[in-house]
Amino acid sequence: MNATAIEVKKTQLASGEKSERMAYFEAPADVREDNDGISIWLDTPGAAPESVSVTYENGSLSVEASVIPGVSRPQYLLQEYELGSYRRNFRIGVPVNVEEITADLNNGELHVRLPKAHAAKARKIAVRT
Amino acid sequence: MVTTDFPMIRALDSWRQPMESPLTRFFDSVFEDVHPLWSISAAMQMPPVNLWEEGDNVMLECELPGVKPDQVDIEVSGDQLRLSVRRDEPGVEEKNGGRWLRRERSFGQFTRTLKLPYELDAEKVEAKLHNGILTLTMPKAPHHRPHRVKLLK
Repeated sequence: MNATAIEVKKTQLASGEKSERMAYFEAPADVREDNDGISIWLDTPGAAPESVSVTYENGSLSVEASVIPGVSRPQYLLQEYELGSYRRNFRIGVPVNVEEITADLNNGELHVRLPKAHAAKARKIAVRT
Repeated sequence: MVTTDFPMIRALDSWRQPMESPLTRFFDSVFEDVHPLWSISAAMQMPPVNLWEEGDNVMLECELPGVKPDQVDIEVSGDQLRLSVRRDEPGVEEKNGGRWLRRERSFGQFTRTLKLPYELDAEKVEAKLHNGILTLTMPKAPHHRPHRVKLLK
């Protein structure tokens, strides 16, 4: 296990940082909500921790992960996938505690946790008699 | 080997739910018969591989996000490569009102056998798993490598 915490940036990437030649793929995602927050898992195989950018702004979560190919492009005997970077955006429908958003990359699997803001948490209201 | 496309399961699930007629009930019963096959979590979508030559080596890369080294089993015999992989779902707490909003990734086990264009030097095959990519460096068997002849002086 080599979990790496990733800094959550709250501003957009400069557009000049994106490579023009690379293809972008939509990383497959699992999303789970519970009373305390939302968890998002994304498959980003080949992306190094330092190449992953997680941005939250105005209720929108953006994830970008770059995959840098080798210097030379080989002559494939069999090619079932292309190399490219990942990009995915999510609209988060509940208020979240921005300061406590975390992102961890582990074996090519990115986990982003967005804790709900206190007001958004489900509360059981006791009925007074 | 059964391969499973989980998004398809969800699509069919949501498609059949709103309808209620004798015909849909018939399809439902058919669907129920078929469903156990699709719901085999032991069948994961086949991860793709890339294969190329690099000098005296055959190189293979395979996308295996979320897979740990002890969940990969590699066997090499002659020109055959057998790859067995298990991928576990992330542990989630069922309590605390948890529910899935989206499930696009697949988990479970798969085994794949590839026939390579060369016999391999099985003892010298090296495997590395880094950032969710499996890389195999597979030296060709000595009789497939070019033999360099020295000129006599």
